Amino acid sequence: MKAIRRLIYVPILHAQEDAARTAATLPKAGKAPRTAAAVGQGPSPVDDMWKGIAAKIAELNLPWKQTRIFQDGTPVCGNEAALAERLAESGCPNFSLISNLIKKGATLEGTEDLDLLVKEYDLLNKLLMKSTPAQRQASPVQYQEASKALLALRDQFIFDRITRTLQEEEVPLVFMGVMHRLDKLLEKDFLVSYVIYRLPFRSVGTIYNA
Amino acid sequence: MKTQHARPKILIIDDERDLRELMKDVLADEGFQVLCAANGADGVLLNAQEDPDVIVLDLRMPGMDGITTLRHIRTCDDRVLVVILTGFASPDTIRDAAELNVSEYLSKPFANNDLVSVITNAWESSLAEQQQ
Repeated sequence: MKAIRRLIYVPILHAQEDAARTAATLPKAGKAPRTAAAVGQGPSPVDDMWKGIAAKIAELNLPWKQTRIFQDGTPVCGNEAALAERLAESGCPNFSLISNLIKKGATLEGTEDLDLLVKEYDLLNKLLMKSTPAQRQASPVQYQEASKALLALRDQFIFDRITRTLQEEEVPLVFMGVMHRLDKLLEKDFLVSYVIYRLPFRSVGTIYNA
Repeated sequence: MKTQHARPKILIIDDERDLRELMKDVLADEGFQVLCAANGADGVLLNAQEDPDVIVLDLRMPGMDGITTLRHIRTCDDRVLVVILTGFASPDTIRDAAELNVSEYLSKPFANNDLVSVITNAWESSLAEQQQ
């Protein structure tokens, strides 16, 4: 009889700033996306979301040396820990948390197919390059429709990646954008526990969370 | 055009009486005008009658659940800000909430100041958007 394994799943929102930082780690294809305008001083709802997630994960008392992290947007490149460190240093709260968990002994695994990520990046880039207000207004819907098919391919790749790389006795810790449907694939093979604190949809906007 | 109030008028829809009363007291102490409904159907009616600025909505309620309640509300009100509260968060309800233009999704248990902060943030973001 096949034993059901535990998996910790953290649904996350991508902030515009994080999308720009992550895109900067991908191969260049056309112009870079517009960087985010500076937001107000003090902790933002997104920072607060990550503080809450960090606190909830700390409460889980996971065996860190046997915890394998899978992160939305992290390509399989053999250089995942350095990539996480670079993004943490740039101020990304998502990767600051991951960097802290790596320091405790956790392993960050390459999670996504680079080719699929580049396609997603190109799609987003085309959307951001729209110039007229009418084009920009129509674009999120078009982007979300095109992104949905790509998302299904990414989810299947991530699922395969988790099942292939996970070692015996390891606990997978998955950080995944809210619109991924990876949970549907995982629930067949894992006992999934969800970690959610708050999700500030309005503060973040929908464009990066299609 | 939705009426703008100086301080947000808040409608709490939650079947748990103790929690509903606690949230009412906390928000009233902050100077908000607070209305309460004990179930989804009453919430839909109160929203239509009172035109609140923010709805604080429990997801898990007997009878009409939170998502169904919100679907009814969104058929005639696409402007009201909605903060979802849930002790049973799942990606399915998160995706439903995102599609129904929810401002915030807050997991139970939460601190009183978390609730005040989330509502205040949602309200201030909304005001800022309208001023742009």
